[in-house]
Order: sequence, then structure tokens, then C-alpha cells
Amino acid sequence: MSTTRDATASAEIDAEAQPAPCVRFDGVSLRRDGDGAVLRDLSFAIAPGSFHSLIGPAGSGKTSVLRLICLAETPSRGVVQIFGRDAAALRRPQRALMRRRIGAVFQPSAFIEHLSVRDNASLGPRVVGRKPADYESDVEELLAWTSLADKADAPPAVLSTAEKQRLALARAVANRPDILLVDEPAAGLDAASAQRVLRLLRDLHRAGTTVILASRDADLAARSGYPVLQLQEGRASLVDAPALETAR
Amino acid sequence: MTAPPARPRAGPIVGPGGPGRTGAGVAIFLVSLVVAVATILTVAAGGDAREWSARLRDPITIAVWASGLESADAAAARAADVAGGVDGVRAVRTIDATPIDAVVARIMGAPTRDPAEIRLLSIDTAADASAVAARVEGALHAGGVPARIDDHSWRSSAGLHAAAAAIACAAALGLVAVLFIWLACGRLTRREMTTRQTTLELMRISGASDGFVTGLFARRTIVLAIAAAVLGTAAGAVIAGAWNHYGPASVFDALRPLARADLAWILPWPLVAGVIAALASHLAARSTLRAVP
Repeated sequence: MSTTRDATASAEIDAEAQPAPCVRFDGVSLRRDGDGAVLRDLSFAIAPGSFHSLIGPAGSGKTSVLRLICLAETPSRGVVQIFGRDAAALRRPQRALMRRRIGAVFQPSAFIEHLSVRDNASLGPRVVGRKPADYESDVEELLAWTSLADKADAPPAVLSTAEKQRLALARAVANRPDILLVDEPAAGLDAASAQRVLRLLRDLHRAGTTVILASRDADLAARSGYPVLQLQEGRASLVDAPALETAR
Repeated sequence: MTAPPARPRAGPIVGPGGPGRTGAGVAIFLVSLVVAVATILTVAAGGDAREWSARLRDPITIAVWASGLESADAAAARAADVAGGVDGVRAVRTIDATPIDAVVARIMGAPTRDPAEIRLLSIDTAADASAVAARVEGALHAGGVPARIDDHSWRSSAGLHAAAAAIACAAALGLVAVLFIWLACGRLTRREMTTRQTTLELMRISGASDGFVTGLFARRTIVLAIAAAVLGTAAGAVIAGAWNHYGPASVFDALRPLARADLAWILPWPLVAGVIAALASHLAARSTLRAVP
């Protein structure tokens, strides 16, 4: 029994049943100087409000997919559509506006070390020009949600790996994004901490956020119970999580 | 009921310090100091030149000086006699002596800078000043009067040439200062952005616009440039003032005493430096940002 489906075909089926995809890759290739082809003719679509796991071995292009979605890179070939708009056609101010609708957590989690945990969490609202009075209570809620309230005034350097992961998550969602990209959420975490992060991601998904999680950990993807996009040598295939678990 | 404790104000996104800031600050300070001193000198010299222009209103000026046993006054009297007999000369006047005459005479080629040994005369002419000047020069030379002649024409006037050279030097110094601050501020902004790639990346993926990021880095450069320019300008004013009042024999001795109004001319410099810093750092920041998608 085949457990994989062609990603493009799947996207078309999804598109019939669901609203227009918020992320669509059409024949996307990405080449980097020195690395050669990172992605090859990649096509898939992700419906708004969905939760997808992107799995694949190291170097398969997971992080590159996330970077393309959050407009941190441009494809060498093909079309990346975000919220129905061709990313390549966006002008710089439009790209900045688009990024405000996309939260991203990359590995390793980087912070502004001289700022407190609270100030790092409020970076998003701050850089888009919101007034402190408008976002302070939201940030306090986020810190409570991620169990970082008691360390709000501490510098990020004193946080544990799990706490840093949660801080990165709090920062990524501080602007209430429509899409949340999370790269290797379980990296360096024990099973309990990884489950805790996964619970937080489920909370966000339930609240309507589209979550795209990239991980080398097929177990984590299988446990999520959501559709899995498997990347292998720069190409993608869609796998159902239960099927993935069965296959294992 | 007690009010909740005030939350500390959010810290600056771009932290204090950074590579190259001290060097750039010191460089802008020194340039501002030089600009301030040069501006004060230029303004003082310009004021003197205006006074000279009023006094040297006749078409020809003669500088005579003491030579051997002959005093400057005797040489001036002899020069007036000789010049008065030259064809085309309508009147010869001795100009009241002032300390700054030594500068005028020096520019005209007199061999001394001692005001006591210099006298200036002016000649009103009935014909073409250049032709009359040539004849007067010949007559003074034949009479053995130590003198130099200036006909106030752009072609041959040493005084006008010196004034033009001084204006050109002042303008060139101003341009060099502006260019220097432009380059220093642009370089500093690029360097600060390059060494803060993580902060830049975090701001970008958080949705910061180019304008926000540019403004953040440009503000730091502008504040540094204005602060360094204010300090450099103040130091320049203090040095020029001290030189004027307490210094050894110097160029200020020949100029009229510095007035407070002269110092007012250097006040806009920190603002000028700030505007240059703003333009240079904005352009540098924008070009650095445009290197990434």
C-alpha cells in the first residue's frame, strides 16, 4: 500500500474542498552558490488554518522552504505564492507587510542579547510601530502562556534551551500572525519539553493559525497527527501522519 | 490599594557601543575643530577685507616700506612726490596707518611684516588704471623708492589673487570636511549593520520595514555626528579665542580682534554635520538592506 501521494495532486484536491491556499509552491527550485540545488521543482499548497509537518533528513531543504515562505529568500525558479500573491512580484514595503502576517522560529534561536526576555518577546509589535500600551498586555499574556513570566526581566542568556524555544515562539506570535513557521521545535529538548512545545503549537492551530512545522524528527511529526510533507533530495511528497506512523 | 510597579522602559533594539564608533566620533570631532578654526579665521579675514575694500577705494594702491636710513613715512612722502608727477595720476593719498596694512603689503610683495615699516598710498587716476600703474611703477623704480603697486585688476592684482585663493581654500576645506563626514558616516552605518546581522535578521522576519531599520541605524550615526561636531566646534572656538587673546604673535595679530559675532558663524556646523550624517547614513543603510531580499 502506498502511503505517499503526489504533493501537487493533493494540493489540488485540498483546494477543491478548502479556501484558496495561503502558501503555494509551483515548480520552485532553489540553488545556492556552493550548495548547488537545495530544492528541485517543488510544488505543494497549504490551506489556511491547517497544520502541516515538513519532514526530511538534514540538508533536504526544510529550512529553505520555511525561509522562502517568510520571504527571507527568493527562489531561483518557480513561483512562491503567499496569501495568493506572487512573492517575487511584491515590492519591498509589501514584503515587510506580508512578513507581519508570518511568524517564524528558526534554529538556532537567536535573540537580542542585551534586551530582556520581555523586550525580545515584544520585538515584533515594536518593529512594526505599535505603541507599547497597545501590545504590553498581549506580551504579558504570551509570557504567561509560555511560562516565562517569572523570567520576563532576565536576559535570554540565562534561559534553558526549552525556555529559549518558548521565547522564540512567543516572539514569533506576538504580532498574531496568520502563518506560523517553526523549524526544529524539538531540537535539543527532552521529550517532555518537546511535547510542551507541540501543545503550544496545537493551541495556536486551534486558534486559527496555519502552522508549518519543519523537523528531522519523524516521531514528532507522526505524533502531531497532522498531514506531513516529506522532503527528500529537494522534492516533496505528502504523507498522512497516521500512515507515516503505520509505515514506521 | 497600591499601583502596580512601573514596567521598565524597553531597551534600545540596537545596543550601545559598536566597532568603529569611537574612531568615527574622534575623526568627526577633529574635522569639526579644524572647520571651526578655519571658519573663524575666514570670517575675521573677510571682515578685514571689507574694511580694506572701503579704504582702498581708489584704482591703484602702493605699498612702500622703510629701507636703510629712510623711514616708512619718508619713503611714503617720496613715493607720493614721484607718483604725483606721473601722467594720468589725478591724486595721491596716504592711507591712515593700521596694523592690518602689514598684511596687505605682505600680500602685495613687501619684504616686511612690521606695521611700523609699512605705509600704504592710494592713487586716483584720470586714465586706464593698469596703464597708469605701469607708468607709476616705472617712475618709482627709477626714483629708487622701495614699493609695490596693485591696480586692483583680476589680471594682475596680487591682493585679488590672494583673496580668490583664500576663498578657494576655504571652499575646498569645507568640501573636504563635508565629504569626509559623508564617507565616515556611511562607512560607520554599513559597519554597524554588518556586525549586527542577527538583530537585522530578527527585525526583518518580524516585519520591520526598510524605513524602520534604516531610521534605527541612521539615528545612531546622526546622534554621534552631531555630538562630535558640537564638541569639535566648541573646542575650535575655545582654541581660536584663546589664540586670539593669549597666543604668541600670529595671524590674529594682523586681523581685527575676534568678535562674538564671528563665533556665531560656526554655530550651524553641527547642524550641517547632522544633515550630512543623516543623508549619508540613510543611503548607506538602504543600500545595505537592499543586498538582501
